[in-house]
Amino acid sequence: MERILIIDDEKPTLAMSRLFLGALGYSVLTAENGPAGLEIFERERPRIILTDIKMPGMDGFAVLKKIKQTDPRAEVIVITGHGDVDLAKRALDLHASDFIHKPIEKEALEAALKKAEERLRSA
Amino acid sequence: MNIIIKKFREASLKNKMFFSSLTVILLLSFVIALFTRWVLISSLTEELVMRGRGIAERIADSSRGYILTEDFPELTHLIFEARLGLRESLIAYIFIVDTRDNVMAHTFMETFPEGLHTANVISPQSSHSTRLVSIGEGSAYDIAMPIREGIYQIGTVHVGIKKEHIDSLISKLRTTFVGFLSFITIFFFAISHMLSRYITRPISQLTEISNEICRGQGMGECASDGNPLSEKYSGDEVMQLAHSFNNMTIQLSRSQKELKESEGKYRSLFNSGPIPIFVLDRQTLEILDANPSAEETYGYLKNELHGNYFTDFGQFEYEGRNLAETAHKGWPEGYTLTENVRYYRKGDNRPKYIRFKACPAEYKERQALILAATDITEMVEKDAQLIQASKMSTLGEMSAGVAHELNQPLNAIKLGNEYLKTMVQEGKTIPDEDLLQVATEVSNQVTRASEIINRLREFGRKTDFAKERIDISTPVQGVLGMIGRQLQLENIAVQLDLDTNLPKIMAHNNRLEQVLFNLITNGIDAINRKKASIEGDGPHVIRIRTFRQKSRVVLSVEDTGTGIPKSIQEKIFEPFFTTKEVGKGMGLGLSIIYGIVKDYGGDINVESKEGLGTTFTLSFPVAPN
Repeated sequence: MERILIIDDEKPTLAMSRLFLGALGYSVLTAENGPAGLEIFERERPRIILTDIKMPGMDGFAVLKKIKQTDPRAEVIVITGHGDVDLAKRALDLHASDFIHKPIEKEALEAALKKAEERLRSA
Repeated sequence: MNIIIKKFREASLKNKMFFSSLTVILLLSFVIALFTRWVLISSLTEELVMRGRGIAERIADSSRGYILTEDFPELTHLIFEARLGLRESLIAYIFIVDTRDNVMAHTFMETFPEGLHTANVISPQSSHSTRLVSIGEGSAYDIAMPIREGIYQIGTVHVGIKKEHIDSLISKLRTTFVGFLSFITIFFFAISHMLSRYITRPISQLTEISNEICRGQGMGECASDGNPLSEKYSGDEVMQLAHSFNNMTIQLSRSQKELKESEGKYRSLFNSGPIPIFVLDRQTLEILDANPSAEETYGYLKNELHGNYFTDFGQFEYEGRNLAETAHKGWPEGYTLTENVRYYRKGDNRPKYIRFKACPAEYKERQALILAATDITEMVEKDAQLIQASKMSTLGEMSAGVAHELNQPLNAIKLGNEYLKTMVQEGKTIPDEDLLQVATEVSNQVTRASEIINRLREFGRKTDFAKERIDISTPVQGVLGMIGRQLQLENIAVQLDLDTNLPKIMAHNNRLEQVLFNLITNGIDAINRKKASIEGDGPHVIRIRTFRQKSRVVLSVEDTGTGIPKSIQEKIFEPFFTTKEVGKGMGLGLSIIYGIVKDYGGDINVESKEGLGTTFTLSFPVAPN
């Protein structure tokens, strides 16, 4: 079972994501902020990471940079607010695999996850 | 002579009376003295001469025999005897001459004065003769009396009455008389002095009073047609009084005319002026008079206004106290200006606003209050519109943050829902536990979203006119509820230092939120500018404090941003002053904040150090109980 790490400062989002991704057949790890997320990443080494961009303290970009430094092959999908195209572009420049907007659509999430898994297989 | 007359005319009435009565008395006494002297001297002389004649007659009778016998020694003895006793002081001499004027006997110790025996000759027709003659050093009245024997004259007897004697008697009399006259004069002197003073004093007082009245008319000087003052006017008391009285009348009539003119002027101002003016009873605020403009403004007829109470037209407040209460406690001296007050026109539910100036005055012998009202409805409405417009623009600025905030609960709901959908689509059973969790979370998130919407709606709501008693920490919490997360995301720490025991203030909650939102977003902007600059490190903090300072409640918003340059610190509250580029902000934010704070009787101050940060301090008066 593929393991996914979700980093988001919103507890309700984390709880719902855990259920949802579980239903989609993933093993889910959660973190409430950037530093906690990085710690779990170091320990568990999940191959797919979902992270919110706007977080207090360490934001999504910093998390993305750190993970890419540690493991350039890790697939990091960033979550941005509705219509935040600029932030999404900046994330792609920092080698994020993909971006999805809030509120998260099932199709968009599945497509992004599928693309990431394919890339992991081909690597 | 003219000088004397002039002097006399110029003299005071007192002196005039005094001098004239004195002159009359002196003249009178002089005439009396002359008259009595004349009467006395002539009668005294006559009396003495009579006595002399008596003596002469007696000597004539007794000497007849001696003359006939030519017994000269006896004759001499006779006349010496006649001179003896008391008569010695009266009689100067006695001598007897014969018909040929030869001296037969005389009483002279020395030689007989030459020519004396012929000095006084009796004319043939008269029985005797009296004449003033001089003897030696003195003079005497010589009385000649013929000595007859039958029808023949045998000689003449001469008796000299000393004139000295008469003179000494007269001088004695004169001394007594002058003494008496002097006493009378002094007595009258005093009497006339007192009398004239007694008469003129009331006149002087009257003059004084009329001068006083004249001066009291506020003319400063009591001049009629530019003439010198009556006080300087020369003349006696009556003339002065007349003059002063005249002046007073002129002055009075003039000031009466002025008063009439002034009254007319104010009356026309009252009647035709555009400002509503009320005359109220100072205690009860009963309407005593109102001008046409007041009738027009309030939509009532004059008779509907009269006798009613001013407080019936609206909730009037003065310095936080009810108007009626203020009036009851005693209206303060001088002018007082109220804040905006609301009233309703007759039969109109739309509120109107006035601001009025009140000033205590007298009206028809009543303690009144002149109240001039200015209709500021339009201004109040425009103010409200401006504040509302500014709030709307603030709402626009908030929208990005609010959208992000609303996205959070929506995202959680969406995820929960997608989970349920997936489970159902894949035909899996949803564990009760998970179903409950999703349902609870969805419910919570809906509540959260609707709270955000409510807060926005509350913020954007048009503010009521009436202020409410609010706790200053309420708007602080409200604003942080809206943008607290934005601050977190910007990595700006919020330090709250709120005193929970503060007294309430009179304000509008959502306007204070508007103020705070503007101040906090200004702080965020300043901190972000600093972050972008070279010295961008260090803690980024917005500190909000509330505390009490004497009788005021203070709220301060402090940031660690770039600070405001000294040169523009004074301008930041001016409308349309902005440091932003054209098209980014109108420069109205702080000027509107200023207006809002001032409307609550508050004050706003800024303290800033370039590169270190800015503190805005707002202070408000405590709401009355």
